Amino acid sequence: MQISNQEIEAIVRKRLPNSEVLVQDMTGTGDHFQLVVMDPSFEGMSLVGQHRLVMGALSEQLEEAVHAVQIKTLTPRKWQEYQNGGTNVRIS
Amino acid sequence: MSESVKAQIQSLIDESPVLLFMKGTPESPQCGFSATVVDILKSTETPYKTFDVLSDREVRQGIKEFSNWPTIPQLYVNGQFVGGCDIAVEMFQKGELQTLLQTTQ
Repeated sequence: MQISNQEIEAIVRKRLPNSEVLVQDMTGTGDHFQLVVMDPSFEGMSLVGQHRLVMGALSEQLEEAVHAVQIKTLTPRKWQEYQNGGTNVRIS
Repeated sequence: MSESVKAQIQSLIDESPVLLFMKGTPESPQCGFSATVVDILKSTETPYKTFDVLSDREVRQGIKEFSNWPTIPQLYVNGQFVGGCDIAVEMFQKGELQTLLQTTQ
Protein backbone atom coordinates (compact mmCIF):
# COMPACT_ATOMS: atom_id res chain seq x y z
CA MET A 1 0.00 0.00 0.00
CA GLN A 2 1.43 3.33 -1.04
CA ILE A 3 1.12 6.57 0.80
CA SER A 4 1.37 10.04 -0.71
CA ASN A 5 3.48 13.02 0.30
CA GLN A 6 0.28 14.88 1.19
CA GLU A 7 -0.86 12.09 3.49
CA ILE A 8 2.51 12.07 5.28
CA GLU A 9 2.34 15.84 5.71
CA ALA A 10 -1.23 15.64 7.04
CA ILE A 11 -0.31 12.93 9.56
CA VAL A 12 2.63 14.92 10.94
CA ARG A 13 0.63 18.15 11.06
CA LYS A 14 -2.16 16.41 12.93
CA ARG A 15 0.32 15.65 15.74
CA LEU A 16 2.20 18.95 15.41
CA PRO A 17 -0.44 21.50 14.33
CA ASN A 18 1.98 24.44 14.36
CA SER A 19 4.55 22.72 12.21
CA GLU A 20 5.74 23.28 8.69
CA VAL A 21 6.38 20.02 6.87
CA LEU A 22 8.22 19.40 3.62
CA VAL A 23 7.97 15.87 2.27
CA GLN A 24 9.99 14.29 -0.48
CA ASP A 25 9.44 10.78 -1.82
CA MET A 26 13.02 9.54 -2.14
CA THR A 27 12.37 6.56 -4.37
CA GLY A 28 9.09 7.34 -6.10
CA THR A 29 7.62 4.23 -4.53
CA GLY A 30 5.75 5.84 -1.64
CA ASP A 31 7.67 4.02 1.06
CA HIS A 32 10.82 6.02 1.64
CA PHE A 33 10.42 9.67 2.55
CA GLN A 34 12.57 12.58 3.52
CA LEU A 35 10.91 15.00 5.88
CA VAL A 36 11.92 18.48 6.90
CA VAL A 37 9.85 19.49 9.90
CA MET A 38 9.81 22.84 11.68
CA ASP A 39 7.94 23.20 14.93
CA PRO A 40 8.16 25.87 17.65
CA SER A 41 8.09 23.15 20.34
CA PHE A 42 11.50 21.89 19.12
CA GLU A 43 13.13 24.92 20.72
CA GLY A 44 15.22 23.68 23.65
CA MET A 45 14.38 20.05 22.96
CA SER A 46 17.07 17.43 22.30
CA LEU A 47 17.55 16.21 18.76
CA VAL A 48 16.44 12.75 19.87
CA GLY A 49 13.30 14.24 21.39
CA GLN A 50 12.51 16.14 18.20
CA HIS A 51 12.94 13.06 16.03
CA ARG A 52 10.89 10.94 18.46
CA LEU A 53 7.99 13.36 18.10
CA VAL A 54 8.05 13.17 14.31
CA MET A 55 8.51 9.41 14.22
CA GLY A 56 5.84 9.02 16.89
CA ALA A 57 3.37 10.75 14.60
CA LEU A 58 4.25 8.23 11.90
CA SER A 59 4.50 5.14 14.11
CA GLU A 60 1.55 3.39 12.47
CA GLN A 61 2.92 4.05 8.98
CA LEU A 62 6.43 2.95 9.99
CA GLU A 63 5.00 -0.43 10.99
CA GLU A 64 3.44 -0.96 7.59
CA ALA A 65 3.54 1.17 4.44
CA VAL A 66 6.64 3.21 5.16
CA HIS A 67 10.02 1.45 5.25
CA ALA A 68 12.23 4.43 5.93
CA VAL A 69 12.07 8.09 6.82
CA GLN A 70 14.92 10.52 6.83
CA ILE A 71 14.21 13.36 9.18
CA LYS A 72 15.55 16.84 9.52
CA THR A 73 14.03 18.85 12.35
CA LEU A 74 14.32 22.60 12.62
CA THR A 75 13.37 25.22 15.17
CA PRO A 76 11.70 28.36 13.76
CA ARG A 77 15.07 30.16 13.88
CA LYS A 78 16.84 27.40 11.94
CA TRP A 79 13.90 27.21 9.56
CA GLN A 80 14.45 30.83 8.67
CA GLU A 81 18.11 30.12 7.93
CA TYR A 82 17.12 27.05 5.94
CA GLN A 83 14.67 29.01 3.79
CA ASN A 84 17.26 31.70 3.23
CA GLY A 85 19.64 29.02 2.01
CA GLY A 86 21.84 29.36 5.08
CA THR A 87 24.96 27.24 5.06
CA ASN A 88 24.47 26.20 8.68
CA VAL A 89 21.62 23.94 7.77
CA ARG A 90 22.44 20.99 5.63
CA ILE A 91 20.26 18.19 4.43
CA SER A 92 22.27 15.07 3.98
CA MET B 1 9.76 -7.47 25.36
CA SER B 2 10.77 -10.25 27.74
CA GLU B 3 12.97 -9.54 30.76
CA SER B 4 15.72 -11.72 29.32
CA VAL B 5 15.86 -9.74 26.09
CA LYS B 6 15.88 -6.52 28.05
CA ALA B 7 18.76 -7.80 30.18
CA GLN B 8 20.60 -8.97 27.08
CA ILE B 9 20.30 -5.54 25.46
CA GLN B 10 21.35 -3.79 28.66
CA SER B 11 24.46 -5.94 29.00
CA LEU B 12 25.39 -5.37 25.34
CA ILE B 13 25.21 -1.62 25.94
CA ASP B 14 27.08 -1.83 29.24
CA GLU B 15 29.92 -3.85 27.73
CA SER B 16 30.74 -1.48 24.86
CA PRO B 17 31.31 2.27 25.15
CA VAL B 18 30.34 2.56 21.49
CA LEU B 19 27.72 0.14 20.26
CA LEU B 20 25.81 0.21 17.01
CA PHE B 21 22.69 -1.90 16.53
CA MET B 22 22.64 -2.36 12.77
CA LYS B 23 21.42 -4.53 9.92
CA GLY B 24 24.30 -6.73 8.83
CA THR B 25 27.94 -6.30 9.78
CA PRO B 26 30.48 -3.50 9.23
CA GLU B 27 32.01 -5.63 6.48
CA SER B 28 28.65 -6.34 4.90
CA PRO B 29 25.93 -3.87 5.92
CA GLN B 30 22.44 -4.87 4.78
CA CYS B 31 20.99 -1.38 4.75
CA GLY B 32 22.24 1.97 3.51
CA PHE B 33 21.48 3.74 6.77
CA SER B 34 23.47 1.20 8.76
CA ALA B 35 26.31 1.51 6.24
CA THR B 36 26.36 5.28 6.67
CA VAL B 37 26.77 5.11 10.44
CA VAL B 38 29.50 2.49 10.09
CA ASP B 39 31.34 4.78 7.66
CA ILE B 40 31.11 7.65 10.13
CA LEU B 41 32.38 5.53 13.02
CA LYS B 42 35.25 4.20 10.90
CA SER B 43 36.25 7.71 9.87
CA THR B 44 36.56 8.78 13.52
CA GLU B 45 38.91 5.84 14.22
CA THR B 46 37.07 5.16 17.47
CA PRO B 47 36.82 1.53 18.57
CA TYR B 48 33.23 0.37 18.30
CA LYS B 49 31.18 -2.79 18.40
CA THR B 50 28.12 -3.71 16.44
CA PHE B 51 25.17 -6.00 16.93
CA ASP B 52 23.46 -7.44 13.87
CA VAL B 53 19.73 -7.27 14.54
CA LEU B 54 19.08 -9.51 11.52
CA SER B 55 20.72 -12.32 13.49
CA ASP B 56 18.29 -12.06 16.40
CA ARG B 57 14.57 -11.47 15.92
CA GLU B 58 13.91 -10.78 19.60
CA VAL B 59 16.62 -8.14 19.91
CA ARG B 60 15.50 -6.63 16.60
CA GLN B 61 12.03 -6.02 18.03
CA GLY B 62 13.17 -5.45 21.61
CA ILE B 63 15.65 -2.67 20.84
CA LYS B 64 12.88 -0.55 19.32
CA GLU B 65 10.97 -0.69 22.56
CA PHE B 66 14.10 -0.39 24.70
CA SER B 67 15.16 2.85 23.00
CA ASN B 68 11.66 4.10 22.25
CA TRP B 69 12.89 4.41 18.67
CA PRO B 70 11.19 2.60 15.80
CA THR B 71 14.04 2.19 13.33
CA ILE B 72 17.49 0.62 12.93
CA PRO B 73 20.38 1.60 13.08
CA GLN B 74 20.64 2.81 16.65
CA LEU B 75 23.82 4.19 18.16
CA TYR B 76 24.67 3.99 21.86
CA VAL B 77 27.63 5.84 23.39
CA ASN B 78 28.59 5.42 27.05
CA GLY B 79 25.33 3.59 27.65
CA GLN B 80 23.25 6.47 26.31
CA PHE B 81 21.07 6.34 23.23
CA VAL B 82 22.42 8.87 20.72
CA GLY B 83 20.05 8.38 17.80
CA GLY B 84 19.65 6.86 14.39
CA CYS B 85 21.35 7.59 11.09
CA ASP B 86 20.03 11.13 10.58
CA ILE B 87 21.10 12.25 14.03
CA ALA B 88 24.51 10.58 13.73
CA VAL B 89 25.08 12.35 10.41
CA GLU B 90 23.91 15.70 11.74
CA MET B 91 26.07 15.44 14.87
CA PHE B 92 29.03 14.32 12.79
CA GLN B 93 28.67 17.31 10.44
CA LYS B 94 28.65 19.63 13.45
CA GLY B 95 31.63 17.87 15.04
CA GLU B 96 29.54 16.95 18.08
CA LEU B 97 29.75 13.22 17.50
CA GLN B 98 33.54 13.31 17.36
CA THR B 99 33.58 15.16 20.69
CA LEU B 100 31.23 12.63 22.24
CA LEU B 101 33.23 9.70 20.90
CA GLN B 102 36.46 11.12 22.32
CA THR B 103 35.00 10.67 25.80
CA THR B 104 35.01 6.92 25.26
CA GLN B 105 38.76 6.67 24.63
